[in-house]
Amino acid sequence: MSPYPEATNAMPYLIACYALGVLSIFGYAVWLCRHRIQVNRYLAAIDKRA
Amino acid sequence: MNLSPKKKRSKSTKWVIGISLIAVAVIAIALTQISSNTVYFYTPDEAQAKAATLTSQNIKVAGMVVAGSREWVAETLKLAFTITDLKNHDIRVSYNGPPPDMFKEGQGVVVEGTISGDGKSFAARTLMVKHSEEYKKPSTDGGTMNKELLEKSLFKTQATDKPSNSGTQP
Amino acid sequence: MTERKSKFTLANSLTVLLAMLLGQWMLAWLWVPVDEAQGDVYRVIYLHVPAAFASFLSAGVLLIGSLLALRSKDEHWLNLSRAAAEVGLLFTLLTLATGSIWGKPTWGVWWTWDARLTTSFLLALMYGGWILLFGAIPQGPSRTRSCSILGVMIAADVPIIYKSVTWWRTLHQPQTILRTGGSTMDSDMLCVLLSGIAIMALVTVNMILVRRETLRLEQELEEKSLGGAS
Repeated sequence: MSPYPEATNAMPYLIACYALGVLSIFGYAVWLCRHRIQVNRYLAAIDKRA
Repeated sequence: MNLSPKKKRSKSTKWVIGISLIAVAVIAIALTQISSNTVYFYTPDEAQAKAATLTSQNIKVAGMVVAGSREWVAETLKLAFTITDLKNHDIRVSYNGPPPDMFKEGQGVVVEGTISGDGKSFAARTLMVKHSEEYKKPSTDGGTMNKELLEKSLFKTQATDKPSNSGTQP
Repeated sequence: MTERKSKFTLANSLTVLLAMLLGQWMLAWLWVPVDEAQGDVYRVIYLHVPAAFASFLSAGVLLIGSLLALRSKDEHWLNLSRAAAEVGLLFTLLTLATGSIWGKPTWGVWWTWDARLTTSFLLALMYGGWILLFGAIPQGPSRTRSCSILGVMIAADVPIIYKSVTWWRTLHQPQTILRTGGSTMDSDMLCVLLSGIAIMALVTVNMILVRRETLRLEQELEEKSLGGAS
């Protein structure tokens, strides 16, 4: 079809973008919640000691 | 997570270095990119009008690829085509290598390189395809890209506004 | 007791919203038609534009926190500002990355310094700068004031980014959605795009609120552990 030597399949680009989306958005959300739980645990421990 | 009292003093130095680097980057970008003398790209008529003064500079010109103007020599990887502003200002562009995937005749391009003194030819180092903001499903009557949209995005704020029999007002 | 309750609500709503986000991405991949010009790769738009909007929305929240901090001089507003700056940085970087990856097969280049990309890059730098600034200045009114002023500057970049494709010549496409003469997208494409923006907006606010809450709890933790130290 194309007279030019390169004809890129654009699907890897599309997949890479959504992979980045999953990693960043879901990764941050998971970290947010886990960090929150950890802080709550520390607080509960301190409240117990008090 | 470090929850012990922070040693603010020694931490500060690292942060300040980081901020200084960012401030330098911001200022450098601002100075080099947002100068009022720098236009991101010229339209073909503007480039031709100023060609004599622009020959030594690396500039960008945007235009539409003229149908039937494409020449491709596979053995030497040389590409040539004509861009136009649809108001009879044509520039012949030469480029070494295959173009981007979406390059085709009737498409908008932005070429970066140097222009000849007479403004009729351009040696391109970089070839970029410029798209209109249109997104539509494939039509059955084959290729109904809204040319008006593409023209507007390429040639709006064009300085010269000569009357012509083709194209639209920017 | 109240911390437990609010964590339950915000975390649950975030889960629901992320599930909706996945649903919208499935629509973007499986339901909307291909683009006549770009084929399948244009589907990045259903992530790229919502992410860009999220970075703008974060700046809006940052603006609110900054203005309230400047007016009340209450440093607790910095928790909201810092959460907004972090989330804003995340989405700005995602916007730049997805845009660059989309640009390579469509424009032919990973990057160019046109007005849209340059001002967006500046936004990322400034978000990062806010976080660094917060870490550099010791706690106190000076930090509250400096960070809040930077927060206002960051918000000022957003309308410039948005209008950059109109005010200047750019490689980046002009506006698709909000423009005179109606949108330039097919209606089913536009639907999925708008729903993506709405869902991402809710995700953004939710994440900012969770992060703000955690920051507040960390402060409480630090006060209590310092107070209780023997």
